[in-house]
Amino acid sequence: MQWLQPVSFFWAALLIPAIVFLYLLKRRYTDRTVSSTLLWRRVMREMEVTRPWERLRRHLLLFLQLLAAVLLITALARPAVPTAGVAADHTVILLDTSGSMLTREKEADRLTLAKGETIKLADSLQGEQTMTVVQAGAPPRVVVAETRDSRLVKERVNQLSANVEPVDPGQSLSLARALASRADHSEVILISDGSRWEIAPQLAPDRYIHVGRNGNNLSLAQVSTVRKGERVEGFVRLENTGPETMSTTLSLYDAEGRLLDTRAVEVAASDSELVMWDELPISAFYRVQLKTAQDALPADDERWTVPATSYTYEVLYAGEGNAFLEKALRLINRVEIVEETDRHKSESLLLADYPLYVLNGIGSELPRNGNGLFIHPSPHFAGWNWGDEQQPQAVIEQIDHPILKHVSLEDMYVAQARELETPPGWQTVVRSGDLPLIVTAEKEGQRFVVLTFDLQQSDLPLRPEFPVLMHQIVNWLMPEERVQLSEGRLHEPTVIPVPAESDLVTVTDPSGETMELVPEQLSAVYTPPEPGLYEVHAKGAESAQYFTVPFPEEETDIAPQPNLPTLQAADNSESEENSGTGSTREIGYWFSLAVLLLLAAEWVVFARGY
Amino acid sequence: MSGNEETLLAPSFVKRLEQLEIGSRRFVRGTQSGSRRSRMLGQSLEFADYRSYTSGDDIRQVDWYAYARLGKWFLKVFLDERELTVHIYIDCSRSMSFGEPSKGRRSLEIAAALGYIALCQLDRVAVTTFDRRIRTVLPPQRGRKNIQTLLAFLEKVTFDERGDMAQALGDASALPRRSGMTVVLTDGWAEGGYERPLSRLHRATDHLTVLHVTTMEERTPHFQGDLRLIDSEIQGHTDVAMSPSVLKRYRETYETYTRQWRDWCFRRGIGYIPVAVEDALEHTVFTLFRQTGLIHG
Repeated sequence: MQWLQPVSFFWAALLIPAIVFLYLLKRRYTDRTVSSTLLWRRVMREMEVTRPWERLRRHLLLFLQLLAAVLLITALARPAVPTAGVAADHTVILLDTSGSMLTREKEADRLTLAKGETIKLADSLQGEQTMTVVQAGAPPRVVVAETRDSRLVKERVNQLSANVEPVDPGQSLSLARALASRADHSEVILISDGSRWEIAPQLAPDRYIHVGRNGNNLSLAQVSTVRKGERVEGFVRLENTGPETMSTTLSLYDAEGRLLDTRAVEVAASDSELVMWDELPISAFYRVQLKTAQDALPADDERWTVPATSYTYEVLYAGEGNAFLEKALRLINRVEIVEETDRHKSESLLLADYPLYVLNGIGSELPRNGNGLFIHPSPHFAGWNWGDEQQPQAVIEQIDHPILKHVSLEDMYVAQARELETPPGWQTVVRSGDLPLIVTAEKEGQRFVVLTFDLQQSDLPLRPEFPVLMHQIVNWLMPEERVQLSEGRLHEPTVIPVPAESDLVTVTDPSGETMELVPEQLSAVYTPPEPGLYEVHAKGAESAQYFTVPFPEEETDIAPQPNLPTLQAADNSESEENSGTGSTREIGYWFSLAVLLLLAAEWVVFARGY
Repeated sequence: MSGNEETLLAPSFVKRLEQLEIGSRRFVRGTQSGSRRSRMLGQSLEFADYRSYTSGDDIRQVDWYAYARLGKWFLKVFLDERELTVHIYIDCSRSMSFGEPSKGRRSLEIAAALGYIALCQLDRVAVTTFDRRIRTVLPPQRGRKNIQTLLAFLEKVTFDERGDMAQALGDASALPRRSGMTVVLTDGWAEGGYERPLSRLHRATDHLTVLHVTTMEERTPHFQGDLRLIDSEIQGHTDVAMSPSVLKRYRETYETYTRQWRDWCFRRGIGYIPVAVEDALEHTVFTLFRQTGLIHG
């Protein structure tokens, strides 16, 4: 039993002695002389011998009054008993459907148990009581709103499936609180395994119904493969989040389903193990599977990996040789430099199909395909309005731009730069007064950077920022994600690169459903609905692309948390009651009723003179 | 008749008393001839038995008719008529002053009535009052002329001492010197027990009758509330929270107490007559005493 107003017990300290005192005052014997007390003495003696409670009975009124006072104080202290059912007028149930809820317990998985609890609560709805069910997730979703119909709740709840992605407790609880605030007397009940629920005290639910006990889970925390030339390196990290050492059999399959390797692995509690392969046959994707005896969460025991190609692309490097520039470019490991020293060939070279051009001191037009870095190009470059060489007089200014991240060029020295009127569509990122030093543009899928000064007329190549600047310029010109997609994130928009010639992309999700996407600017955006292997087929492309969506790593920690902060627990911090066991129903009025009955009894006793 | 006499005995009541006599169920032993049958054979007209003539017998008592038929001398034996001594013992302890009229007053009235009857019938009347010892004694009186003496004696009786029947009657001098009939008027609140004194009295007299004078309050009290009951005679009190159950219990105890007393008396041939002070004196004397055989006529 709990006391919602335990301070009322202080009344006991006042009321009970007061009653006793008044009783003592009241208990005045009236003197009465009788001829003899011989028989009276005998009567009293006999009564005390044969009925020992007679002595107490003489104080029956006092006892009744004391009892009434005790009951009254008890009623004032607002006694409450934990009830399993719905107590409030409006109950908001926050149902956790995250990945860890897929954990198998003895009877069923946690989600089924949680649904069962929800339905049990729905069945206990009485009279005008209403119920709202919110599926906790990111974002949370209202499953059924303010209904008195327990059948509707049952129907909707039974249709729910696990959301897999991690829950945002704050957002879910805020929504639940907001919904609950509509009714005066409402209650928020969280039904969850409590795993990864970090609750801010002001958002704590009124009640927490805990499901799940099993914490054994061995998961594939990380699976990756990298293609290096004609071989593939594989890497798997197994993580045991449970309290016991677990042993498992790890199997690796290729795209055709052929078993490539099997290993027995033992992972200690709260530890992880690495498994690596140096030379795997080339395959479009690989599948890794764990077979563990006591594993409670099967969803994270299978993963796919698409080998990330360590993709290098060719960069045409032409023009005046510059050791610093060359060195800086070679430091970028995904760039393979094709050097062309024949200056006369330069114009025709631009027709060649290179993804990136770096031209130093040459160049008269922008390439039709591919991206380019042009350093101090010819005075007729792109037909722009170029001027004479000038010495920058003003302070060098730079704006925020990806290529200038962690790079400060404000104290750079530039002896001479060619005057340029910034053409429309171009952005001046570094300038000295009216003199642009670096301009950039992004046009129809192509990106360009132009430096208006000769590197040899500046201390830029000597500065420590120079390799960083070059790296960032190349990265901006050739963004990595444009190159390849191998892994997406669940429920997060994923950009799928599409070859220029494709105007339709078909994505097949792990459950076999296909979705057609129209690409825009060489990419299509897709939101993966579930973990697993996705197949992407671009119209006109020879082979399919694959990408994987892993089971969220946060959800592999399935250790249940039987205790979460609840408002009830906060109210009764002294109470030993488990906060997770239930709501309370006040029973004070029963005590009040007892007081009334007792008063009636007292009247009878008084009237009959017991 | 004096004023005193009027107080104890109303004139109309007295006239009716004259026709009564104290009923003794036994033959009395007396010294002077009176209007009572005696166990001693004598000269009354009441035939008792025959016996053979022995020398020295009064020849006038020979039954000559029997001699004519049988040729033997037989003497006719007649019962002797002797006077009766009525001893009246009155409990004059303080508890007797309770009741409306008080038990004491009613006892004096009864004593006066019994004494009057006895004196009218030429019986002897002696009165003794006692509380924890013998208070006053009226020696045996005989004849109507002593009615005044009797009433004057009774008028002087007061009820204001602690009583103890066992102690009062423990002394041999307290017992009647002549046998006869003894009547004890008491309310029965004998702290020291009633058995011993009554046994002693019983042995010293031909016939003993106990008149148990009680008040309504003693028989069926109707007390309410919390009472501190103070004993009129002994030191001390009893706190009682009155309730129907307590009162019921008291009545049961009272019943038991009187029944034990009555049974005790019955086994010893002692007359036991409960007298309620609330009853009219006429009723007590003419109805109750007649029914119980204390008086007849």
